Amino acid sequence: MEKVIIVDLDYCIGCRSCETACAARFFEERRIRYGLLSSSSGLVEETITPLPCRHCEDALCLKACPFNVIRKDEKGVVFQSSFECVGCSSCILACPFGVISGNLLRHISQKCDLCRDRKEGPRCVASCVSGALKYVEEKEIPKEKIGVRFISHSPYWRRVK
Amino acid sequence: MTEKRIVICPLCPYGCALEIKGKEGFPYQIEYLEKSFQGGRLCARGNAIPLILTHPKRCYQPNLDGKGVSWEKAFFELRKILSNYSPPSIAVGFDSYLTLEEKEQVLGLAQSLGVENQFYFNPENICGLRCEGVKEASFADLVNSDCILVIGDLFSRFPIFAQPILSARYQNKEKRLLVIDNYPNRLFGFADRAFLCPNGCEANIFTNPPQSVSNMLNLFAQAKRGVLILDSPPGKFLNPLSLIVHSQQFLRSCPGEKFFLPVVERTTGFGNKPLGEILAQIKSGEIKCLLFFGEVSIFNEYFDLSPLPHLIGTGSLNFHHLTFKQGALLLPVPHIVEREGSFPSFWGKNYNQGISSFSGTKEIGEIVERLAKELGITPKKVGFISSRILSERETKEVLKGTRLREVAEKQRERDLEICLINQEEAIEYGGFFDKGDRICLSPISAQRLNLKEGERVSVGEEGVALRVRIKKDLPEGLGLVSLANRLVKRLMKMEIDNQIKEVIIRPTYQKIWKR
Repeated sequence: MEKVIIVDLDYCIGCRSCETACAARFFEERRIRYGLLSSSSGLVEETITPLPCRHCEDALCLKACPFNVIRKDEKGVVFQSSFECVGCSSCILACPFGVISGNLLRHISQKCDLCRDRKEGPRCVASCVSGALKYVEEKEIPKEKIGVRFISHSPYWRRVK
Repeated sequence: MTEKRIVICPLCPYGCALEIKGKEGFPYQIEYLEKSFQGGRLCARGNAIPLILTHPKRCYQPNLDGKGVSWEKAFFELRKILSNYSPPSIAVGFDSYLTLEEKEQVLGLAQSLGVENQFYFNPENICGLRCEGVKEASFADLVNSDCILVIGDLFSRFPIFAQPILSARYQNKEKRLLVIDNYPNRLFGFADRAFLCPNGCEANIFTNPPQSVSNMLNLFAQAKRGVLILDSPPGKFLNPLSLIVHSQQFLRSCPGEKFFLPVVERTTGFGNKPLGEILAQIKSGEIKCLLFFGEVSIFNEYFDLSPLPHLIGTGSLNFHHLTFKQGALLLPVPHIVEREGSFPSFWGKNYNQGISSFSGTKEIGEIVERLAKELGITPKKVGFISSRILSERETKEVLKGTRLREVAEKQRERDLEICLINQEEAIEYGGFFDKGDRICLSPISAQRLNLKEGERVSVGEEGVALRVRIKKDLPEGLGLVSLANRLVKRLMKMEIDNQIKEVIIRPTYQKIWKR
């Protein structure tokens, strides 16, 4: 992979702007998913955080697809052809991160392709109001300070629903 | 042919720029402008613009009593309805889904028709009031300040503020972010200090603060440059005017450079009657025809307009179950994003070039002009007040609670009833952090009604059960109740007083008796 999406949890306010950006472009498909985390400390604190596709090197969704609808391009982006998808849900079951979901209206699975039609990069990153989502070179990831700016509360507090 | 147009998002006063791509008048995609003021960032509302513009419920044909009609037929009906009624039985209203130019045109039409019942359906505009000597924050002040005090849930209503605030906070550890709200909002997790106050008590944090709030306010006062951000939608805070005045009063007392940033629409002075009065007149049958410009289906959702014989409204969306009853005429207009005109924003006035809209719609200006032509009148030209500064006298009146005393004076004439007011108005009397199940009475009132401290009483026709608490400094005949109690809320009347630009909880006279 040349470039990947990373989530800086210190900035994420859970506004779901990225999800709307995705839905507005891909005709109400939600290719970026949300995770609901809750604290194990017993406090009633919940948080929503974006779960973008990892575009795995050894992508299980790609292997699981019985019709080779999910493919990988030269940049390492794992993408899916919505026209060819038959909605068998094999990729949804195979994804170890649970980031692929089914579109009940169109009977297909929704798979992030990092907005291959947009030169500037994914729309979710461009629209992120707080700058939590970043589209960076894989080599640059360690340079980014992520999740180290905690101020006073638990990390869960900052993303109350 | 693909059409590209840069528009300023009119859905909130932040004013984000975005590019909308469309094909043959059908907007389908947005593009993020990284060189724009907000760096291409866009909240969920802005992102949803293509979804709104291409919504299946978009209205493209005038609708009379639930049936589609031609524009000619619609104007014919409109003229017939309006010529049947005299000006006192007509009301003209509009909401914030209009450009400034359109608001002026609508007011001009109302004045030419001789209609006195003009109103503006946007309670937030009362929050644009300023006290003398308070500086308004600019974007630079927000980024360069040492301390930011936020009252309300800023990140939920205006998530676009997140990036400048959080970047500034993380870059400099000396910077402080302080938050006060009545529920643990998203900002709490990012704050250095946060205070959870009871609902409706936000104004009291400046007059009778608990220790923790005192420390926060001291921290803010000591900062060289500070910005107080007030996010105060009426309904969430029970008395926004009181909160606005008290927060500005606090800012004036602080040393150093302090700025005020109310995140609400910055226009005041539209209309000449409060919404409450218009609704009461509709209910009593005085107003028989309502001409509403904006999104009538949203307005209709809020209020019961069933007693109204004729509802004429404009809208871009078409919700049958709410809007189209007998006697309703809906005129399709382009969505506010598609319309050309000026919009107020935090950072000044923006001008939108507009985009091609759905066929079948007519601009509000066009409708006003055609209507004036049909009725044979010339619309007057009117201006609007862009901002209003509260005079020292008005400020003092709010701070001293003069109106409260007037209410108490009137109450002396009544013996059997107690005048209930929201605790919050009685700022000088304190007692804001009381629980919601108490009624505070003066010792004389308690004696007159034969009540003792801690006794349970029933209040009003609904028999709301409350415990008596005797307060020595309360005037006779006045009862302080908390609107945090839902049952108490039912006893009170909420109205918008356009003269003093305030959402107010009207005092009500209720009988109380021992349970």
